[in-house]
Amino acid sequence: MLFVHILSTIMLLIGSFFFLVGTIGLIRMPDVYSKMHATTKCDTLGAGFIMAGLMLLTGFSGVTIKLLLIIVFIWLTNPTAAHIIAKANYRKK
Amino acid sequence: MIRRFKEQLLMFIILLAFWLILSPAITIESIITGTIAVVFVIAFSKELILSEKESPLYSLKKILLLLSYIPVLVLEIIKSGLDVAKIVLNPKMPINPGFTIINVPLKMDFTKVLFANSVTLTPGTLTVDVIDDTYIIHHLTDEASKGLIDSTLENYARKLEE
Repeated sequence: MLFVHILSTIMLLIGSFFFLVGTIGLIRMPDVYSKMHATTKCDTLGAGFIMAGLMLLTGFSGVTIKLLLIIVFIWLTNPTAAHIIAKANYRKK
Repeated sequence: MIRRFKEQLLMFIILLAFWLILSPAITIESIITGTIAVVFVIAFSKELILSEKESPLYSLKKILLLLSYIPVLVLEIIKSGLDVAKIVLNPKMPINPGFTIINVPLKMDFTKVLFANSVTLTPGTLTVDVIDDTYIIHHLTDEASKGLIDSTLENYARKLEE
């Protein structure tokens, strides 16, 4: 029980770290496209780690399936949203 | 017409099952609300699942291929996250942004979307626009643009279309 808690805490910390890096990248990068690189990649990975950590905590139940579905939808919609923002900026000129 | 009805029936079952997974408890109320909502969704949408041109994707072999693609994608996502994190936290920020234009002849909308989204999720590349077979891709570093030519992702998308 304790081991699972430690493991899930580590995963939650790693996830938060990637969210932090994504936000720093959003501020530091020079233009729109580079900013999109930072946010899409780090947020996707951060959300994945946080959901995986929570899945360890819940064990096997209905909530686990819902958390898995959240990851699936984030990983489907995140690149699509990034693509739309980049495309809007590309076609602006 | 019959094909369309079969498709709608299949979609009805999938959507209702999805609704029941998401609802906290399976009661008569939740089943009735779900049925009404699903009927409205199906009535107002034309093609929720794959179109006729993409129907070869329904075979078991293709679904297994798609499932074997998931670990590859997860590995790529982890690699790309670490890659970008390294660049962002580097005080010098070693980036050289620019556009790469590549030609990938894919026929189906499904594989096109799969390829474009996978490119966005791989290290240092971001799909900006798709015009027919031409993909306009933004790259963060020079190595990222080299990795695009003849990539594993492209091979997967090709195999799915065979």
